[in-house]
Order: sequence, then C-alpha cells, then structure tokens
Amino acid sequence: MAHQKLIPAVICASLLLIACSGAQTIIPSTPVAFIATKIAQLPFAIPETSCGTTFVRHELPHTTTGDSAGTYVYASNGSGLAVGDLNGDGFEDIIFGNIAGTATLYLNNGQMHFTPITTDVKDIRALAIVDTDGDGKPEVVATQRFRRPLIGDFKNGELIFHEMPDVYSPFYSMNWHDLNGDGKLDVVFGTYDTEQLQHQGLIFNERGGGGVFIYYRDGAGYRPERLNSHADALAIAFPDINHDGISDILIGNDFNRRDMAWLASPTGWQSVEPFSQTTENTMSLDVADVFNSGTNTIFATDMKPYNQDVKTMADWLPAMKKLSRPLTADDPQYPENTFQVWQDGQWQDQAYNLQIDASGWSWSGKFGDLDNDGWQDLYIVNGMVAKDLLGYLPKNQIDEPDMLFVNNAGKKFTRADWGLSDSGSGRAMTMVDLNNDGRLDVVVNPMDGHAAIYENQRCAGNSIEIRLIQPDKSNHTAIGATVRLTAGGLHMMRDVREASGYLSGESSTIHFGIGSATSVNMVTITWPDGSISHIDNIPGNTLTTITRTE
Amino acid sequence: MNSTFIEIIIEYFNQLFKIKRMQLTSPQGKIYPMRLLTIYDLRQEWILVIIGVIVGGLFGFLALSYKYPAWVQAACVIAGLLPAFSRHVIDIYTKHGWWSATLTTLIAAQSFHGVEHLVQWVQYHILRWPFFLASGIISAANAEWVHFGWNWIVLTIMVILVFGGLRNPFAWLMIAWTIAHTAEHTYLMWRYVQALQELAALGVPDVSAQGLPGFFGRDGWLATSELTRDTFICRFPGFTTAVRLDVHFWWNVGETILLILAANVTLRHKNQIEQP
Repeated sequence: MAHQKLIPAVICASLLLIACSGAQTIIPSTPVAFIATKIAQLPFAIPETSCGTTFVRHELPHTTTGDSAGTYVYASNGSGLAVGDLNGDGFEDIIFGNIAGTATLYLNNGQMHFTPITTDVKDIRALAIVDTDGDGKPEVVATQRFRRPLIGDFKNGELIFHEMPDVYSPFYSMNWHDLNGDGKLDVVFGTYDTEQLQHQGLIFNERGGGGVFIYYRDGAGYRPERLNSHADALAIAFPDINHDGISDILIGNDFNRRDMAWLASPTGWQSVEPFSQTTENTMSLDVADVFNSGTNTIFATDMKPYNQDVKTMADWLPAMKKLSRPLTADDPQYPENTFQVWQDGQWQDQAYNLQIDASGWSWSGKFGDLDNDGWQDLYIVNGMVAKDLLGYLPKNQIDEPDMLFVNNAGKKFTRADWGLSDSGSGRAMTMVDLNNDGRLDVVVNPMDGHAAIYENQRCAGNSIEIRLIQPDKSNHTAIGATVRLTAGGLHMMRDVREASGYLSGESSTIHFGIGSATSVNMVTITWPDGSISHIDNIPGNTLTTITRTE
Repeated sequence: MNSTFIEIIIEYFNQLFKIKRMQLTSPQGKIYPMRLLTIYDLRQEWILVIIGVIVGGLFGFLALSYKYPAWVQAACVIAGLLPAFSRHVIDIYTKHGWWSATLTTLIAAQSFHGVEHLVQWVQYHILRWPFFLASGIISAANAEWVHFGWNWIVLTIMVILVFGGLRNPFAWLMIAWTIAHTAEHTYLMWRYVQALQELAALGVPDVSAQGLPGFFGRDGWLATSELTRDTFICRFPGFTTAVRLDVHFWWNVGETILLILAANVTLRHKNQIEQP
C-alpha cells in the first residue's frame, strides 16, 4: 500500500521536473466547462441597389512600391495588410503596408467610404490589428525589413508607432495565438533568411541568424522561445495537425526550404514533417473547413502557371530555372499549390485532383464563402514583378489574372470571374465584410499598383456573422476559438484567427454563408480555453455578437 | 537464369498464339535457326566487347575528367561498343538477311533507349533534379531532338519491317503505339520550337525549353485544356496524372515489349514459311 501512496508524489515530482526543465508546457485540454453567453444582434445593412452578379472594384490611392531604383527581388515580395475595428465604430478599418512608401490606414466610415490616415512607417512586411495587451482596444502590429517589429496605438485619430517590447530582431511573417493556454495572446515570428543574408552578409549569421520564434506574453513584455535557427517564412498558421484538439504551428518557407511544423505536447514543441507532399516555395497558408466535414484542410500556394501554353511557359522558364534547384530523394517539395486533406488518418494532397494546383505566381490564397451558399470558395491573387528576375519581360513582370475557384458543394472547384480576375501583381489579400451587409468583400494590397477593394454586390444567399467577445480576458476577441453551427442542413465550422494567407490580417468577425436558410441552429462555441457554449436558433442576416458572461 | 526466365515468358506467348520454333534464311539461301535471344547474344564478339568496354570506358573517364557533359561520356562508352555490335549485326545479316539485321538493330537500340528513360526516371524521382535537368544521358544533349528523332526513326523502321513481313497482332499494336508516341513527340517538338522562338523574342537565347508537358500526363494538354476541365478525363489516373517522365517511360516500356513480342511471333512464322 505504501508504494501506492507514492504514485501521486512521483507524478507531482515529474510535473515539477518538466516545469523546471525550461520546456514550454502546453496546457492539456481541461474538463469541458459550459459557459453562459449573452447575445446582441444587429441586422445587416443591405443596400437596395447592390444586387448584381459581380464584385465592384474600388481603387484606393495607396500604392505599395519597391526600391526607389525599381522593384527588385525581395522588395517585390510586397507588403501586408490588416483589418480590424480600430476606432470602435462597428466598421472594419484597413491598414496597408508599404516598402519604399509609407503605410496608410483607411478608417472605414461605412458604405464604402474611407478616410485615409498616413503614417511615417515604411519597409513593412506583415501587419496585424490585434489586441496585444488585453486592454480591449486593438493595436496595429507591423514587422519590418531589417528592423524591429512595431506596435501602433490609435489615439486621437493618429497611429503612433513604437518598438515592440522585448523583441530585438527583424522578422518577416507573424501570427497571433494563445500558444501556452495562459489566456494571453502570444506571437510566432518567422525570419526571411535569404533576404537577410543578402542584406547583411555573414554578419547575419554571426549575430545569431534567424529562424522561428514564439514570443509568449509575459507581464507587459514578451519571453522568447526559439524553435529553430533558419527560416524563409512567408506564412504562419496554427492548424491542428495531429487532430488532438490543440493548435499546432505550421511555417511555410520560400526558396526550396522545407516547410516546418511543431506539435504541441506536454513536454514542449515537437518538430514533425506531417505531409508527404508540400509546396516548394510556400507563399501563403490558409486553414479552412472546405468540405463542411468538421475537419480543417490546409491550403498552400506556390508558383505554377495556370495556363501551360507556349507563351506562358516561355515567360516563366528563365525565372524558374534561376529559382529551381535539385532536392534530395526524401524531399516532399513540389512547385505547385497543395491542398492537404485529412483522409484515412493522414494528410493527403488533393490540389491536383481538385484542379487548384496551378493558379500562377501565387501569393495570398484564402477561403471564404463569397456567394453565401454555405461552401467556402477559394480566391488567390497572383503576379510577379522584379527587374533582376524578370528583366527579360515587358515591364519586368508576369502579368496574370487573380483566380477565383468556386466551391461546388465540396465536390469540385470551378473557375469563375465575378469581377475578381484583375491582373496586376497581387500580394496580400483578405476577405472581410466592410459595409456590414453580410457579404464578404475582398481587399488587396498589390505591388506597384493601387490598393483595391472589391465590393461584393452579388445577389446571393443569406448569411450570419459572429463576433466573439471575452470581456474579462486578455484575449478579448477570442482568437483561437472555434464556432460550429448548422444551417440549411449544412454543418459548418470557422476559427477565429488573427492572420492567414500571405502577410494578411484577418477580421475577428467570422462569416458564414447559409444559403436559403433564415436562421442557424446548434451553434457551438469552443472558446480558446476549451470551455464550450451552446446557443440555438439565431436569426440569419445579422451581425451577432456573442459575449462570454463568465 | 534470366535467359531461362525470358524464354519461359516467350514460350508462354508461343503457346498462346500457337507458334512453332522456326528458322530463317540467309542471303545465300542457307538456313540458320534464329531465336529472339540471338539478337542479344554477343558471346561471339566477346573480345571486341571487352576491348570496347575498356576503350570506351577510358575515353568516358577522360571526358569525365575534363568535365565534358554526361552525354559525351555516355557517347564514348557507346562508341566503344559499336564495333562489337556492328560485327554482330553483320553476322546476323550474313546468316539471316537484312530483315533480321534491321530487327536486331532496332530491338537493341530500343532496349538502350529504355535505359535512357530509366536514367531520366532516377534523375527525377530519386535524385529529385528539376524536370528540365532530368534529361537522361544522351538526351542531355537535347531531350526534345533526341526523342523526337528517335521516335520517327523507330516508326520508319517499323514500317519497313512490316513491309518485310513483321505482321501479327503485336506488330499492328506496336505500329499504333509508335504512331501515337511519335505524334506526341511531334507535338512536343512543335511546342519546343515555338517556346524557343518566344524566348528568342524575349531576348533570352540561352534558356532551353526542354521538358515541357506534352499531350498526355500531368499538366499536359489533356489535363489542362478547358475542353476537358471538370471532366473525368482531365484527372484520369496515369493518362493525365503521371508526370511527363513517367508517361514516356511507359510509352517506351510498352513499345519495347510490343516490339519483342511482335518480333518473336514473326520470327517463328517467317521461319515456317521459308522452311525448305
């Protein structure tokens, strides 16, 4: 009997050892707690005149430009954008980054009217509008080329930037999530070593190089954990890779560098290679329940021409020969989009089978229900401009249309136009309802072209938008929460995220198209701490704010 | 052991098609037994084979030392073996006539071509070279011209052999197979030339356009055409999903097998007809 009494002590001692070993402990799922909520609803403001078949393009004055001497490789990767309600007026504002020029904030006055506010920051890569300090007001976070990340506070109609505390390295991509379950938002940063090496030479390595870092929120500052020391990270996502109910970390790398993944485990982050085939130059990552199966898929973009005609191939070949290099036999990378689907207990790439493997020189690729039929469509922005890489082409650019693939009830994707096939050189892109009419609009920050808003004026189905609030939590907008609901016989799922695609911030308001259904049932919210709320029968065509009351 | 295994397979087909073992006639009217394996039987020329391997290997090694491309090294080895093979073909001609000598040359060359495809396969799938580098050995000189030229030669020789008596179901299938294969290489050559012209127009003369997808296979015309989009054809396993290297590897495997089967059937029939 005596040894049985020792068992709890041994377990406690083991846990203490793990805690003291320095490894980041991931909090395991706690017993499910059911949380009460209160609901506020606002009917959509649907303009009577805006019922057509296409999106309508609105051009903004903001233009992202590269180096002053022209746009060269690296600078030509462009700059990000982010959306969020900075001034608390109920409309999503937009900030566009820039490289040679300065970033511009557009305050949304509703009805597609915006007030521009110029900033003094340039050389921006990723952007986020996120409540980093848990004060209930979002801030703008920006990564910069060769400089420390910035945080911008919106006060008195101005955006005032200061350096992010405790973060001293320059980073390229970022994404926010509560990674240690302490209720506060942490951030994962990734470096872009190839550009850094060209800029700094060997000094870059001598100073410790780059890699993938988690910065855990710690008091008023951050505490870093380095996951590895090399990266060309263009995209970061938090899919549940091993289906254990906990978000993991996925890094999409450029320049033939393998993508990286870490699983959350009680002993820390465990490096894995979960995919048998991946993209070779991962430009963006998006995670979505495309089949309404309750399971997320993972989509990554790469560079592969949609048309394989002679003219297109001739345009591509010289550049591809510069960028391609022999890999090793066990290397899973292929230069085409991948669409990872969880089947038979493993991830399988279905991009080629579903004909979404080739979309051009692709950057941000994201899912969203653009026609409110209950199925998430895929939109990808494309194009490349670079004087050194594409100097043999007119205007130094591969000019390709952006690609819309409509999801046909989860069975196949069909290419459509809908006024979204603009050519140019798209980079960051996000989908957000800018005029609270229940339809997702599209915002693009291209390279060497005007930023654009594509107003969704399609006569489409009904929808519901859900905004989650945790008033007493640091993670105020419940980033990391999952919402499941049933409408019109479809079971849908969305995650609240800070970013997805390529350098693109996401709205924390999630959108569900519900087709001809007029209400949604069996709404289940899994809050970031694992607790659950159930709500039944919410009327459609409303912006529904669900506030956690406990 | 391999010979025995191959003979068992051939014998199986002989029984399947009720074929008897026969002989062929030399230009002088003398009758010698001609079996399929005679084509590969270089034992009589073993001294020349050894000398060829040594000399060809030496020149190949020199080419390697002086950093000549792989196709030059391979060409040295092949050139070393040519005298032995030439004597072998002359011997077959002397004993069995022009038709058999032509058939021997075609089968031997087609088998070597198969090795070329195997090397490409290894380069792409095992070594993971980019598609435009995985050109094989000889084809590294120019994969498009080598395969285009080779397939037209095969088709031409097949037609000649048909006129000479290579007429059986395998031969007709082989002709159809070769015509389709040659048509695809002609399409590939057309794309290649067009792409070179486009590149020249862009002022990029030093980039080759080898290895573009063809009619069949992954990213080929059938897989990407708007005519087949959203139909089962554009993702039909193998036909529109295999990469070009795999498609042409199997084109070649099919061609070689059909050629050997057709030759085996005809050799036996021909001998029966010519038997005194």
